[in-house]
Formats: sequence, C-alpha cells, structure tokens
Amino acid sequence: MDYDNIMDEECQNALKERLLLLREIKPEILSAEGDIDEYGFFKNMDKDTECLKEVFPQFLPQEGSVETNPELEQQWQNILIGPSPIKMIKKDNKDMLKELTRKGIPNHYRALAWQLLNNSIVLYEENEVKNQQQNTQTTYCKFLTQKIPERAIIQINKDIDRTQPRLQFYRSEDHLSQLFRMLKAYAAYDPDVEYCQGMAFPASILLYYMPEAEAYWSFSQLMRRCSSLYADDLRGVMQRQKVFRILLKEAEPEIYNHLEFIRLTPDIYSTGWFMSLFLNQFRFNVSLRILEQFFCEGDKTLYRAGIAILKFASNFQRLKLKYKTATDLEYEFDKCSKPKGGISLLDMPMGVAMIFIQSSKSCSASNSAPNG
Amino acid sequence: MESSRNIKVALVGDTQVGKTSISTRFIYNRFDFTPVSTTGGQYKKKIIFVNQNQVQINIWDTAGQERFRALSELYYRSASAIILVYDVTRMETFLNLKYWIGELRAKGDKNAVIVMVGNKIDAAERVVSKAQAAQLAAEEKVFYKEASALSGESVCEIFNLIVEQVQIMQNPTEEVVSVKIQEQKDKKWFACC
Repeated sequence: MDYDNIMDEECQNALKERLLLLREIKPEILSAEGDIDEYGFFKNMDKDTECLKEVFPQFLPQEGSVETNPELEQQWQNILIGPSPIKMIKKDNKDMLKELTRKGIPNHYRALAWQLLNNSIVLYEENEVKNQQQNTQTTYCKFLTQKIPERAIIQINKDIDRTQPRLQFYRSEDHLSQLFRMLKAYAAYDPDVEYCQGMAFPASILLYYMPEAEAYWSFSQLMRRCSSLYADDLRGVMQRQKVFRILLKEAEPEIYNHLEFIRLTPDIYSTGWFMSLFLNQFRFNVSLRILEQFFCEGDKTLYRAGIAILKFASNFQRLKLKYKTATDLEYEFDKCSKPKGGISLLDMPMGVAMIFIQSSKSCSASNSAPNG
Repeated sequence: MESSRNIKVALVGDTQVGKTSISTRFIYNRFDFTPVSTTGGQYKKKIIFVNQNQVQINIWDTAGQERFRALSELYYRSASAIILVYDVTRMETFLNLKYWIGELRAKGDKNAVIVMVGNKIDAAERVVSKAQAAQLAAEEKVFYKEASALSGESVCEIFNLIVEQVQIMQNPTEEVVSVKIQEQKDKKWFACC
C-alpha cells in the first residue's frame, strides 16, 4: 500500500521541505554509494571499531554463527510459516519462544519473528488487512491523517536522517519518509509521549526489517513495554537506572564499588544505553540479539546488556600486557595505572572507556564525573 | 614545575545546532557529514598543551530536545565551562539563549565560564547578526564567539578562551599569560586547528 499522500497537509509539507533541504544542503545524506557489509552498513565508517579491530581482534564477536544454524532455521520455519503458524504469544508457548529467541533468530526470519515476539501480527491483521479488504480506512492511515503538535513534527524531521546514516537503506528519500510517517503516526496515537529523541532508533530497525505498516504495529507494541523511557519527564530512564545500580551492586560488587568511588553513577553514563535500547553500543548483530530478547523478555535484557558492557571493560586489564604496539588507543590505555577494583574498559563506547582511564589515573574524577 | 589540569566542559543548546559537530571538530579535527543525534550525555576528552603544561579537556555533549533539559543539568551542574551553542541560521535557537542562560545561572556553578557560540557561520543564509549576538552577550555578561564546525573556523579559539578564563577563575591572583593551545606534532590525535 502507498502511504505517500495520506498525511495531513502540515506534515506533508514539513517532510517535503526537509527532504528538499537535505537534497540541496546535505547531499551526502542521500548518497547511497559505497561498500556495504552483510547487514547493509557502509564499511569503514566507524573509527572506534576499526581501531579495535587492529589492536584487539579477538575481542570482536564472531559473526554469523547462530544465524546460520540449520536446526534453528527449521524450528523457526515451523513456527512462523509452517502448516499451523503461531500468531500470538500465549502462556503455553511463551517459554518455548523465549528459549528459542535466546538461541538466536536467523536473519531472514527476523521480520516475522519480531512481529510474533511483539504480539503485533494479529493487531496488524485486524487494523490493516481487514480494513483494506473492506475498503475502509486502516488504523495506520487514520493516525497518519491526524494532526500532531508542531514541535513533534520539527523534532521528528530533524532526526530522520540522523538515526541510521550508516545504513545504506536510510540514504533514500523514500525510506526516510517512511520513518517520518511511522514516528508521526505513533505521536498521533500516543499524545502523552508524542516523540522523543531515542525512539527513532528501534523504529528505524523495525522499519529496516519489515514493511511500513507492519513495522508501525510492531513499534507500537514495543512502546507498550518501554514508552516510559521517552515520556515527558524521562521517568522510565531514571527508574531503570536506579534498578540497574542495585543489580550491578549485586552482580558485580567490584565494578560497582569502583564506579561509586569515582562517582560515576548510572544516571551519568547509561541514559543513552537505555534510550537507544543499546542499538548504538554494540556491533549490529549483537544489538539485534539484545533487541529481540528485549521484545521477548523485557527490561532484564537491558540490565544484562549494561552489566555485560561493564564486565567486558573490566576484563581488559589482563589484555593490556600482550600488546605493545603504539596506537592511539593503546596510548590511552597504557597511561592508566591499575585502577581500583581492576577495572578498565574495552568493547564499550570509547567515550565511556576514556572516563575510566582518566579517573583511574588520578584516582579522582572531580572533573570527569558530572556529579564531582 | 609540571602541572596537570582538568577542565570539564559541558555543551548545551537547542536541537541540531551542532553541539556534537563542535566537539568532533575540536577532538578529532574532522567533520561528520552524516551525524547521529545524541541521546543522553556523551563524553569525549582531549589532552592539550598550554605553555608546556598538560591540560585535559573533558567534554560532555548533551541531547538538545526540550525533554532532555532536566538531564543536561546533570552534566553542566559541575562544569567549569559551558559552551552554549545556537545556530546562526535559525532565529529560534538564538531566542532560546535567554532561557538557557537563566538555567545555567540558576543551576550551574556560579564561577562557570559561559561561552555563547553561534555555529554554522559558513552557511549563506545567516539570520542572527553578529551585532545582535554581541549585544545579548554583553547584556548577559557571557563570552561570545562565532564558529563553524564544518570549516573548522574559530573552533579552537573557543577552547583557547575557555582554558584562559578557567585559569583566571581558578587562580585569580596569578598572572595569566595569554593562552595558545600548542600542537603536539608527533601524536596525531592531538591534531587540532
């Protein structure tokens, strides 16, 4: 179905204007040329990853391993497109789906599997397919025609091209328009949340894997889990940070103590993690697995991912001795004396890694930690 | 005698005015044509040499959307310098500066060096004039610079000013010689300006 001219006039014009601006002023954002990897990302755009690859190759996760397992493939096939496919998560299949999701989802089944895990298949059929058959307006179209506040239009417009510029898919005006419409429809559906920076990250990944209206319903279901992350006062972020702090203390007391000692509390470093559902923190295949487990299991996936980042980081201290070549990265790492609790960082956003390095050197983070 | 210093800088301002671009230009001396919007706070640092002394600049970059304003406070509250960015091609980002300055004064460190920065001066369609901005800066008693993260113009001067002013603030009795950030030629990640 074509959703091109369905939106209300205000949104339609705002989007047109934005695309025109991109075409004229930022042609790079619409240029789809360049080498891409198996997931559709432009190669060599991530300096930090490139840097890691050179210095610590063994730290990069192995690729493709779970996604090509034939047994797993068969199981998902039966569930999704077999003679009696599962269309809804219910009590009796919940645990089985959870186990299977933890094992992994083959990439080409992701579109269907994600809709199942978000319980959006039936919603899509009821709201879109049925209405189309009866020639009545679909629910997605209804949201598209509804007006939303100007501030939301402006913010969505500013973010569509700043969400996944490394994915070739989003170097196209059509796909940027689809992302705009999805976020606009959600803002119309949920005026309390409207649009908040961060929401575009999961939305863009869903849209990358499935058609617009399906992606919308999946996104809408996903938001039922986590819209408080994006609510007006970001209360969901703060709540989760409080929980994370307690869980970290239980799971990794050494790391916890070190972080508390340098006054680096989760409110400072983890906002971006939670609000992007970790989509920017790992390599793409790892991000996808976190996202799909989140669909299935909710918040605890986020806490695990956060703790994993910090654990990765703390393991680095042992590795340091092995590498003596001078690179930018290692220069930074070399400078740190052994921090309290033996923590140092790797495989996490370089920005955060730097905090540890800096603070461990001086054993005082008065200038690095905002609370200092 | 070698002295090591830490300066914490927070970058604040409306959405898409170029906060991240300014920090990327300063830290790596490059411009990202396909930037990603910032959520939460992002940390970057750079070590520079000022008059043979090592100074570490710690930058906290923040998200611009209104909803994140309470959160930005966490980052600028204890900063010794705050870069308040607006976009010279968008009047509304300039008009919001009064609000921002009020917030920074109320919630930030009272000794914090506030620098108002008009970004994107490379663009042809400028709507906020220099005189207008200079007047506001004088009224509000904040520092004022114009820069372009795209061309790199004047980005380093912002940080020269910050280092200088923070020194004055921290050592009011000492004579502060004018600051010029020195390049460390043999370490490529020091390249700036």
